[in-house]
Formats: sequence, structure tokens, C-alpha cells
Amino acid sequence: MADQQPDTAEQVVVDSGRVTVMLDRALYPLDVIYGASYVFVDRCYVLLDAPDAEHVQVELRARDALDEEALRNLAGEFGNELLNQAWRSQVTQNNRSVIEAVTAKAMAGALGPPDLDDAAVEEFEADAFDDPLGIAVPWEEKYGKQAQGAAEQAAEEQGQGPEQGSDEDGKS
Amino acid sequence: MRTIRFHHELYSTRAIERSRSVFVEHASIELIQELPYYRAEITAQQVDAEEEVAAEFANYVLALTAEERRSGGADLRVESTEDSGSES
Repeated sequence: MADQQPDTAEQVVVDSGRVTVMLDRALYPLDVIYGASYVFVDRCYVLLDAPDAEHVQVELRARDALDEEALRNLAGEFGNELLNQAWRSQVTQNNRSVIEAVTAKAMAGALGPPDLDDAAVEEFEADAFDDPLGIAVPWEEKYGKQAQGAAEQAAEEQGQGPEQGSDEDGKS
Repeated sequence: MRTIRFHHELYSTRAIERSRSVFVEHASIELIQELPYYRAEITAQQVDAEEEVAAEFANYVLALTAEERRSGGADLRVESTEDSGSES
């Protein structure tokens, strides 16, 4: 090994054409590590390992031969990309509710205005509206019996039997 | 022959299998489960390119795993649904 001593607390080790970066999972979630590794696969050969439950080891080997300084620069760029991915992840998480609301609205708009069939279904499915004054109640239903009772009472007062009134009702 | 170990917490089994099917033209790849690793023994058809093929295979597995994670395992769900449909 060219350099067994890590730079800072087991972070970066350069070894025969490859550089190994040890990452704390508490600082860098797996999605962030995958995102950064994905960016580097066109420049490097990337291999992940989990030496213990708290760390992920990322091994970068350049496609072209690099000296030690270039490998350290590569590790530095990878660290920057990790921060970039972590920030993007944080922003996405913070804006998740906004993104979902906008997407839902866009999807609803893409469906277009409701056609007649939708309107008919909506009308039948709609709940009955409030009618505290009884405006929607038909006149016959609301006053019919009272009017009939009043007519019978008036007929009795005029000396006519109720049977005649009921016959009239029956005719009508 | 080259050997690469894929940690099962970091690499998707499905991604390894799919990568193996893609690389079948270039190498014969044998997978051996040695928890917590899957050990891939790679024998390239061109011996002088064996190291490069093995490294490309590892990259391919990593990229597929990352894509699966990014899509929330949607690929896995689709394939499992197709499997269950074909069984019935």
C-alpha cells in the first residue's frame, strides 16, 4: 500500500491505483451514496462495501491510470458530490408536500372538464341540499291536507254532509 | 477468473441477476451466496479483458441497484406481479 494512513479519521486511503473512502451512514444515507456513486460510474469503477453497520466503504478506481494526487482529488470530488446529493435530497424532502400538491393539480387538469355523463352521475350522487324553509316541498304535499280539512269544515257549516264532500274528493 | 463480492445490504439481488444476464455475451458469471456477500466469479471470454469486464460488471450492478432504489423498487414490483400472473 502506498499510503496506509488515512487523511482524517479513516476517511480516505490511497492504495495502488485506487482510493477508498469510508463514510459514516449517520451522515450520508444510502440514497446519497448511491446518487454520488451513480455520477462517478462513467469516470471510475466504483465498488461499495459495508465493513460494519455504521460505515459504508466506497472504492474508486479510475478507468485511466492516475497518480496519488489525482486519486486524492478524485476522492475530494466524490465528497463534494456526496454533499451535493445530500443537499438535493434535503430540498426534495422539504418540498415534497408542494411537489405532491402541484402534481395532483396538474393531473386533475389533464383530465379536462367533466362531460355530460360525469355531470349526470355527479347530480344523482350529490347529497340533498338543506331546505330549512321547505321551499322545495311541493304545494300539494305541504298544504293539501290542510286545504282538504278546511273544505270539509266549511261544508259542514253550510249544512252539507261530509259524505258529499268526500264524493267530490273521490271524483276529483 | 476474477472475484467480486457484493454486500447484500448494498446490492440488489435482482440487479446482480439482471446484470449477469446482460454480461452473458462477454463472460460466464457464477454467483455464490456467502452471507453477507454474494460472490461473483467472473470468467471473461477474452482473458486479457477479464479485469475490465469484471469492473464493468460491478459498475453495472451498482447502477441498476441505484436505479431500483430511486424508483422505489418499482421494477421489482412489476416483475413480481408478472411472475404471479404467469403462475396463475
